[in-house]
Amino acid sequence: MAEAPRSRRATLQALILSLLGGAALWRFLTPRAGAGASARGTVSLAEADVPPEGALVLPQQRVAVIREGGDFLAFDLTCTHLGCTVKVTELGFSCPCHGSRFGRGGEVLKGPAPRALERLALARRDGIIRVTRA
Amino acid sequence: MLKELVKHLFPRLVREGDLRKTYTFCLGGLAFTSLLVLTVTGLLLLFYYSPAPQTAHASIQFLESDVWGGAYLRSLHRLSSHALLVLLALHTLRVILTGAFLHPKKMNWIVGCSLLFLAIFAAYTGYLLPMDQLAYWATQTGMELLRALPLGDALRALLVPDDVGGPLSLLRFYALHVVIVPAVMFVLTMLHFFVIRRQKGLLPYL
Repeated sequence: MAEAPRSRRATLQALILSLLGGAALWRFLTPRAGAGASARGTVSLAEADVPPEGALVLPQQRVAVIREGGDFLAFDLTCTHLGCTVKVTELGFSCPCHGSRFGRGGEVLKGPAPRALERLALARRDGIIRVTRA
Repeated sequence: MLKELVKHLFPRLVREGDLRKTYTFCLGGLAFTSLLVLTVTGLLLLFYYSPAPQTAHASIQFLESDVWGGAYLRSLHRLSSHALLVLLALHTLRVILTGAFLHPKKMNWIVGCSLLFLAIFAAYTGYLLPMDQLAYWATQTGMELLRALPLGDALRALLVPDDVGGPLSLLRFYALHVVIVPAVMFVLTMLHFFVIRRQKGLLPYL
């Protein structure tokens, strides 16, 4: 079965058209950010809400603030394995999806998580804690 | 006229050897049957499912508790989706073991592999739709796995523009699950059958 060879012009036309079409489709399918709920931004909370030697968990924002003595630590609760929200336990954190465990400093105690939980920047002023997520 | 049409769906001649059950185990035919069951049950589920994060789970609970046959239909849809994947895996295995992916049938091997991947993708997109804990976290982990691929972040941005659980993402999974993926699968299935017919049935390699 002999087919007519595709001409250079037809090939180029098809190539350009599909590139343009692909670009248009890409723009159509990626709306401006902010259309939905985003996990970025700043979270504010009162120091008094964090129990001594305990933790305040904000599951919606995926943030936990831990008090150890007079120190406060903030953690991103997104598991470094596949992004589930970890639970705060007495010993630290544990992930319900695949069983990773983290210590109170966010370090990995048990896999499959490859990295420690992300520490978040935290600022204290007049009894108010502001946790910032980049 | 309808009778004629149905008559033409079937080949005029079938070689006796092609009907040997122990060669194909009719795995492709069984997979197609699952696909038909999925289509019928899925079309019926469309009447009750609501593709918005706030209402999706409630609409399924309503279907299960207050609709006659609703729970049965949903179970049937779920079970046939499992059946489709298992049958496709076995069908692929049979094709590999009998060497049916070789030269004159290369085309159908490629079409068949595409169908296998599309079926997995259809199952994955359908998994999110109930919007329960299992659905949410399974989709979350799947989308995280996608990032390991080259261009994974771009693909992720296409599939879940407002993150797993967002309204746009759910709507996208819904559109893919009920229209786009099934339509492509249907076309490819017909092509799959057409190639077999063009080659006058199965080619016995073994």
